[in-house]
Amino acid sequence: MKLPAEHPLHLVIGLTIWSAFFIAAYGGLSVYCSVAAETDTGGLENPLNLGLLALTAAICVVSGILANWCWRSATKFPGKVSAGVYIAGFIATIGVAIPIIFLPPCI
Amino acid sequence: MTDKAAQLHRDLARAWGNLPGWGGLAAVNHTSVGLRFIVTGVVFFLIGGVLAMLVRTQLARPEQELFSPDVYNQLFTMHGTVMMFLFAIPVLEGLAMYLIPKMIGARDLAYPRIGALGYFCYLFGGIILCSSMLWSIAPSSGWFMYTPLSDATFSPGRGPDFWLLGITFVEISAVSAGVELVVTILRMRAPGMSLQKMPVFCWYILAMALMILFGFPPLILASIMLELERAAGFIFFDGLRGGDPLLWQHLFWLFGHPEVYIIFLPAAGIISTMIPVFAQRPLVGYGWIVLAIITMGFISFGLWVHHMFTVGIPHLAQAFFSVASMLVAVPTGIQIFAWLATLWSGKVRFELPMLWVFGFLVIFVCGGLTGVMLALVPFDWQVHDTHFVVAHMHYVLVGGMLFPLIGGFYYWLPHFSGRMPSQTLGKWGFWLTFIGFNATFLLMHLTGLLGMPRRVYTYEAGLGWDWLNLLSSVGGFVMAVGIAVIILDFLLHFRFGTPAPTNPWKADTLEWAMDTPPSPYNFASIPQITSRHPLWDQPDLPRAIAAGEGLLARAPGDHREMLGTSATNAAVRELIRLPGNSWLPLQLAAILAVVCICLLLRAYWVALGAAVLSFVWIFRWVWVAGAHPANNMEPTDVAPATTQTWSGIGLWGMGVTLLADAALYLSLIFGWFYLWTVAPAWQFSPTSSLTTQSMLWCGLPLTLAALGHWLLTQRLRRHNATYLYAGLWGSFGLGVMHLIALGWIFFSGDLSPRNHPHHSVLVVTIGYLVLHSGLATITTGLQALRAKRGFISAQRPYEMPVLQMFWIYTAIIYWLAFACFAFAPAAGGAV
Repeated sequence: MKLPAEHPLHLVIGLTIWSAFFIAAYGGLSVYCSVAAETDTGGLENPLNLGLLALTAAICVVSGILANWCWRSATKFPGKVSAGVYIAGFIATIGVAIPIIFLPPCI
Repeated sequence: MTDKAAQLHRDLARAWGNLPGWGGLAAVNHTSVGLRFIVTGVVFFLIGGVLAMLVRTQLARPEQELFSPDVYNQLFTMHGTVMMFLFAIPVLEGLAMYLIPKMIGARDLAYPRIGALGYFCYLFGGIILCSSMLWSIAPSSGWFMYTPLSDATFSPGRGPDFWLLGITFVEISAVSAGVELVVTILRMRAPGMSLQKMPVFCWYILAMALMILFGFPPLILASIMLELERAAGFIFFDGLRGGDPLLWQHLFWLFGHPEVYIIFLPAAGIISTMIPVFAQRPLVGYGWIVLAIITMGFISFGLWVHHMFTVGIPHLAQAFFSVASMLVAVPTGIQIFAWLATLWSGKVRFELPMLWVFGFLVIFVCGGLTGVMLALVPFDWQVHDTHFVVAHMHYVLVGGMLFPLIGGFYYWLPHFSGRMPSQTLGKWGFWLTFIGFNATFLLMHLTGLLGMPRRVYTYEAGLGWDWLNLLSSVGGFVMAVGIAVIILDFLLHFRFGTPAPTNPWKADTLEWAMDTPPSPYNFASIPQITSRHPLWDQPDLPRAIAAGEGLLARAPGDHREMLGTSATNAAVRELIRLPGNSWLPLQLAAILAVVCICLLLRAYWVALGAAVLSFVWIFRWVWVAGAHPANNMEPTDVAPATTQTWSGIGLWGMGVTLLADAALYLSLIFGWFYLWTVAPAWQFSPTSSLTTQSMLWCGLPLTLAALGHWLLTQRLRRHNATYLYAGLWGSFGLGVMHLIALGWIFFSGDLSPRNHPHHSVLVVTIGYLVLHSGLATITTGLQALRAKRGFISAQRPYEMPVLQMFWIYTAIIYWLAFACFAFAPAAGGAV
């Protein structure tokens, strides 16, 4: 079932996706560092950083598509604000992901 | 007013009024309950303020011995606790409970008795907590009660127990207010008040209420866990025995950081309400502000670890939270620019409340900037646990909450009393408070940068802190005088204030479309809303409402009636009958207070008896709710009675409550997962005889019970009520079988929570499951009895989907527990 762009649930979906990403990033890091602390080389090319970057890319694509769809489909207030929420999720995802490019996980 | 309209007002006043004399304690209407929250909150604010003055007196000069270290610890702990838990949240909730129905064109909140229960829980919990000061056994571990300082080894007295039990008791009120505010805003707006026409204050309160539902459960859980550790020897936070003290910090700040925004959002809502009124133009960027509110609500949950930058977590994790902490400044900035743009483009009237808006803007922006500084990890390391953090926190909380709140009090004072405040006293109060506050806390930034740690009861002379502390203390007393002047103004205005004209500030929102002080029913008839600024765009509205020209201009049989509307477009959906004055909330809160006191006294059997009694009272309450004949309504052609509908406010209330419930459960799963992966001495116990097979068999009757209830509900949707009575007893029986199996698992599982942290988690989880399964089973039995009496039928299906949702939730949490504990052995050990 497809939710119309004006459906109020869109007001929270965008940042709920971001929340899931944030939990995955912090939780994934904690688990990775507890199970792979001895094998981790301290470099940036490790499964966690690469996986989180891939997840970031996927979430950005999804958020971008949904933002575009909401903006184009909606004629009323909730839909336009929902598009903004998806964009906010997009920006927040990129913001949180930037350190992944520069910092290894377990130091 | 015509005779007919006058008769209507008399009828409504009789239906909605409180009982006389002591009967006022049975009042449930939102005006009374909201005002009680506000007044009680202000009393606690004064207590917290006196504690602050004692702290500042002690620190005014070096090497003072006014208080012993222990008493000083109690002073600052209780100051923080009282201000955060007994003042800031309840007073804002009270204001929201008072204003929201009036702003959305409703006569009351969705669950008036729950609101009254929340108030009494707050009152009793606050009294219990503060009573500890009378015996000098108040908590002394700081308002965030860090372990291991607060555990039984390092705090063997009763202080932390007062905190843990008292705060948990008080939080019942916060969560209950959260539920009723969400449902009221979403389902009880006046017809036509679609989401885009909703006053911006309601958006803020909606976000605040939802944040309470997700933010408070982690702390409730953490408090229960720490109390179990202290009183019963369970293991959660004791690092030597397999727990981890950092788990407390995670759970506390999962609550604690959103808490800052839970406090800030309603205050910002006050600002967003007042600025357009005094700028005499609509708010610039309404949509942007709504976007900022939603964004802030979410991102504020991703900041909690910035309180823990010094505990030794990886740099990458710190960076996540550092970035999120800076990101949250963006929606804050959007709001500030929208306010400035509104002021810039309007014709500003500099009335008394605007002074507080000015104070808010200056102080809060400064506090926000130091917040961004603290979001930078290296800077945070330098000033962590110094007075710089104390100064930042007060800039954010006093600037971001107290100033808007007092501004709001001045703004709505004519609404509360029908009289205007004194300009002279009001201005003196503001300037003394503003100057005193900045003298206290601006200088405190320097004290912190010079290295003075927080929470030290005294300091040596000659470290460069002497004059700063002295001036901070002088500033504190100047601020206290300012607050005293404001309170004097408030008190005097009831006697000497000039009578307020109608809509004295020329506001646009509906709360000014009624008499001041307001009647207990708010609106003689429910208006049709066509604009976001009803009083500006529909100037005839107050007269039409009072003349009974709107909807529901009646009070048949002295019933309290309200309209339920759809969440998005506010189309009329149902006619709701709200409960009248009731002693149940006071009685239940009193019984819960007995539970709390008995736990404090470690009289566990009496506590158990009182807890059982409280459940009896809850079920008694449940029995007379819903489609009970006492709630019958006279038919109307406006909308069907709510008992005839499938998605009434009961279902919404259940859904919203389960959000908070799920947050608590997920916090428990998080805690277990955290201990498993992080706690150095954690181990899965190999001795438990709990097996996946036994859990699997135990879950079978539960699933069948939930499925059976779902099938009965589906049949009822098709107007088929055959086998309803027998089917409900069938679900009840299956529920009993499940409970017996759960009990068998518990007692035969060789669980030793005093020796194994994993068993501690298991016991709490099983307790949680038993509570839910028990509630679902007993309520199903009650439903069977109600079906027999005709309270539930194809024509009155209201209650079935409510319990159906609870059964589904109960089944989900069971199987989630099963998944966690069944798969854990594969990853690390036996169940």
